[in-house]
Amino acid sequence: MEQSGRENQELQFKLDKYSDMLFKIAYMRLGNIQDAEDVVQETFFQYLKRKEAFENDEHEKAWLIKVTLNSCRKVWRSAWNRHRSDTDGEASEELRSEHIPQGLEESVILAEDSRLLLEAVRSLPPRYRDVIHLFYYEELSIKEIGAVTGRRESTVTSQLTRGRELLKKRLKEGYGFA
Amino acid sequence: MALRDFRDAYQEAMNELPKFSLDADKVSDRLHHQKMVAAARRKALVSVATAASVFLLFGLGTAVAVNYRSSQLEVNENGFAFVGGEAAGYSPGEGAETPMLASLPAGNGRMALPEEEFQGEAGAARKEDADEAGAADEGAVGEECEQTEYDTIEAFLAAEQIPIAIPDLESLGDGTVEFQNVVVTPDLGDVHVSLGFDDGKVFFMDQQDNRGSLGYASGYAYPGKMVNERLLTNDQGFAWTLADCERDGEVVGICAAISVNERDITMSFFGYENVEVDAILKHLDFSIYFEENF
Repeated sequence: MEQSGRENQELQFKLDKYSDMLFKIAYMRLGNIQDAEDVVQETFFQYLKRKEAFENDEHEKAWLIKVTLNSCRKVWRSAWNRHRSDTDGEASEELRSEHIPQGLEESVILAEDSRLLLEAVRSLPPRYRDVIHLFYYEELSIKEIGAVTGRRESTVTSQLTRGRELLKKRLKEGYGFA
Repeated sequence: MALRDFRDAYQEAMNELPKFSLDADKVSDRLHHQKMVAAARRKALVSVATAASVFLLFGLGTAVAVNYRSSQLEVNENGFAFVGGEAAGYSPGEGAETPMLASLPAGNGRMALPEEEFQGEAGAARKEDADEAGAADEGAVGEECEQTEYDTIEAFLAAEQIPIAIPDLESLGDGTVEFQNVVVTPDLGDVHVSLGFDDGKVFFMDQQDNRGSLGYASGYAYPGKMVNERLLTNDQGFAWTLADCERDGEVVGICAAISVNERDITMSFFGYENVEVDAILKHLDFSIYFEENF
């Protein structure tokens, strides 16, 4: 019983440390709060089942992001969602409106600039969206993004470049990209 | 005018979202997790083009294996229907026991509903409602069939001895594979393959092994309307039944089904041209289904 309590405490510590980060990754990938929450739960369930120790905190964080992205793919392999998202690489108005988090829109007042910014990133094709989010929000390096997404560094670099170009267009050149 | 730094602005915008937190008890509660997965799976399966199967089993008091070779296959408004064994023309003799409708456990896309209740999206919604109701009652839902999941087709082929004619990866797409997954449900003789490429092509395959089945009917429902039914005979003389899956007047995918030596196979292609699908189906080698070792 005591051991179980201690394990729960340790798990809670990890949840407090990572769950919000993973939720945001999943949310930006899926555009749906419920699915994103489910993915984070699934990720931590996999974390509980994992027997091998992590080499360090970076390894642990990378593993969690990787599992989160993989879990998102499982949710996202819905052919219908997939078809709509990838129809032409550009989000349709219908898709864009679906990706606005209804719950958040009603319950949270986002600054107009923030709302437009998040919509612009969410409207990117998923492969660019992941890279932009991980680079600009999680501040992962190209190499780290390659490791968690399973993509080559050159692919990540070109996706980052393409993602920036699309964002510049959509944000009407209002931001500088370092 | 100085441009605002995107990194700062994006981080600020993300931080405006409410902070998400999760309770350890919730995560460590395996039962909760299983319920969540089952509910998500049911939700996904009734709303997307993956194989949402409706099983209707006929059971007799005395089961005798029937040596049938293939099922009857029909295209209906929303998908494919296979009828195998004696189910199609079944007519119990005088004094025979009335066939029982046997419900398979929920999960893995199998939903034990009579076929007439599964018509179009309204039917799918009713099915979802029924599943939601079932989820609240563990006794009604029953236990899920055991499944084995593989992250790649290669891993599946290396680990399992299941005869299955999966098209070559190269023929399915030349983009980068973004996801692939194979789920095997041994109790149901079912294999489900998912494959997606970064250029938007998505392929699903579902195979049911009905060898030795007394009789059954199964259906694959898609979220739209099945139109433009057609046949395609492959290089070995087997006839595929194809149809376009249409939603809101737009063709969203091409679906194909065939029954070969007691295996019922469906394939769904999204983001493919007709000519690509025809080429894949035409050249698929079915000889594996006739090898004695299996």
